[in-house]
Amino acid sequence: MPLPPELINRVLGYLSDDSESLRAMSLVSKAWASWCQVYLFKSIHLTPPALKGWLENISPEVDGPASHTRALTLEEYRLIPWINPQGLRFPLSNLASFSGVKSLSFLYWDATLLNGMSLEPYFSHFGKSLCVLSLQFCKLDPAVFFDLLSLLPNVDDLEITYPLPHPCAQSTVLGPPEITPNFRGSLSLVDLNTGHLILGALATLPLHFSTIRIKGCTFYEQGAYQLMLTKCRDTLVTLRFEESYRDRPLPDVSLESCNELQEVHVFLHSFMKIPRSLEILFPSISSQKLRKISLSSMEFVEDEEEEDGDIDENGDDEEDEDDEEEEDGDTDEDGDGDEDEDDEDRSEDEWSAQRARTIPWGSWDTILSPLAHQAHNAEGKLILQLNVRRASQKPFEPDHLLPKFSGHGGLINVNYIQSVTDIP
Amino acid sequence: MVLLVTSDNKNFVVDREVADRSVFVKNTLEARGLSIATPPMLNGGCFELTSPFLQVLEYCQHHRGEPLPTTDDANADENRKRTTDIGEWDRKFITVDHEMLFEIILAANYLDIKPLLDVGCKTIGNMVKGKSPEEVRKLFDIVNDFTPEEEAQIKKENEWAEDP
Repeated sequence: MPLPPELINRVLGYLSDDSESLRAMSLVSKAWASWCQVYLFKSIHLTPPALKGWLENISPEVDGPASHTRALTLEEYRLIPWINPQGLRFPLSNLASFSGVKSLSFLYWDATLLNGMSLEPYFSHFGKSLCVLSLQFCKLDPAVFFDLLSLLPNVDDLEITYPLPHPCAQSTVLGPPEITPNFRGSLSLVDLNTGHLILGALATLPLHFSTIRIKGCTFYEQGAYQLMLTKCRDTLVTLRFEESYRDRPLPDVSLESCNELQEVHVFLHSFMKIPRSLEILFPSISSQKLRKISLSSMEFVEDEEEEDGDIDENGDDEEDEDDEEEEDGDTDEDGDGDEDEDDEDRSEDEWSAQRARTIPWGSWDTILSPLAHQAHNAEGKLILQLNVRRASQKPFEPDHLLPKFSGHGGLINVNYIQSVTDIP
Repeated sequence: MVLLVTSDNKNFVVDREVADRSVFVKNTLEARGLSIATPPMLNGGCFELTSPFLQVLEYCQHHRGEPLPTTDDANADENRKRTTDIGEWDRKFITVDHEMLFEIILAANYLDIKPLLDVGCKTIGNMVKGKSPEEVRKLFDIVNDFTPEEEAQIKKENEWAEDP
């Protein structure tokens, strides 16, 4: 008894991660070939020589394999001469058969070579379907960036990682293009410290992102980030700050007008070293909808009793408070910078090992002080997710160990992690 | 209790909780405010529903009370697709001959019992894994309509597909 096509498709869906089986199934019949190739060509990663081979071997028909591609990555690596000595470039005009791409990623792409050229022949066919644009390690300048965006009006999600500056890039900020993308999804900006012009250009556009992720930030980018956050004040739901360079504090930005904000995630290698990070960011949050704060650190945590050793196991609260004050003093000493200078001379491994310090819960309670009024405002609905490394197996008692947060009605959830990759 | 009548006029009286495992039956009952649902004939009336329906009822009775998947749970759907794992009871239940397996899948699809449809399709997926194209053709009663040139073209194209 034959199954109808929609059920065969459903079966093949379970094999979508099994390309070997899909390759075999595609030789069953013409119909099965077209069903299997939907999964086989869903995600394609091409380099210039690979694209040359692709164009020579793949059917250019409208419903050919390229029409099934939804995620296309083009890795030009022209910018890495020892890998691409011939400087091969993408014949971008030959990409028209990729008619249904939703996510387009460029890696090591020198977009500045297109400066002064019309991009329409190369990108207009992506315009209808494209929702996600990712530019990683690409050489960009604002003029090409704006031209590109004006051809991709349905882009909701934008990712820019480490843009490489072009020496001839225009330093004046251009006016925004007439047609701009929707930008209603997520924005991810990673290490833009070398791409000020792109960041400045982006900040001039109408932005409606619901999620913003900023990884790595220097003083110079703060103004542009503040502008972007302000533009997204009516739509921003989730904000994520991640430390890229150790011991850089969070950008001094205000979230005062972001009234839809529900989640804030912060990753710092060490909150102990830069405790002021939370002092500026969190008190500025005015959103009544804030429900989750996630703080992730590579520091170890441990009970004070276990660390000090000589404290009575049955010690009362007063003794605990005294201990916390002592630890607070330690925190201040850490902040004076002496340790930072030592660290600069160490190798990466030594440095990492040194940084994996054990700190008592009492110090975390002090770090969390700026969050107390948020917990109070949320009236028991604010969850604090702590992702930290565990130094002891002792059960965690949040009400006892973090009274400055839990005392105001905040709920605490501790997730013990091993490395950065474990952070949710 | 609900009276269900199959396309070959066999009557089945089942608990409402069991009947509601079928979204089709559940919606029909809710829309009509009736306690009787009569699934119309399938495939122009040539489909004998009784045999797979007994199997389907057994499945629904075993899983009664379990939460039904929501239609808007896209992530759960994706997760289901990522694995071909099948629970022990379901695996034993679905260990039937190919003809019955196809009939159960068709019945689950028609009656909109997504978890059973998943079990059936996963089982088919596990069956075709590692099989040659000719073996799959035999299993599904499919005629090879490729010319040698077309088959060679598909093979050539597939070399460009990426492994996940």
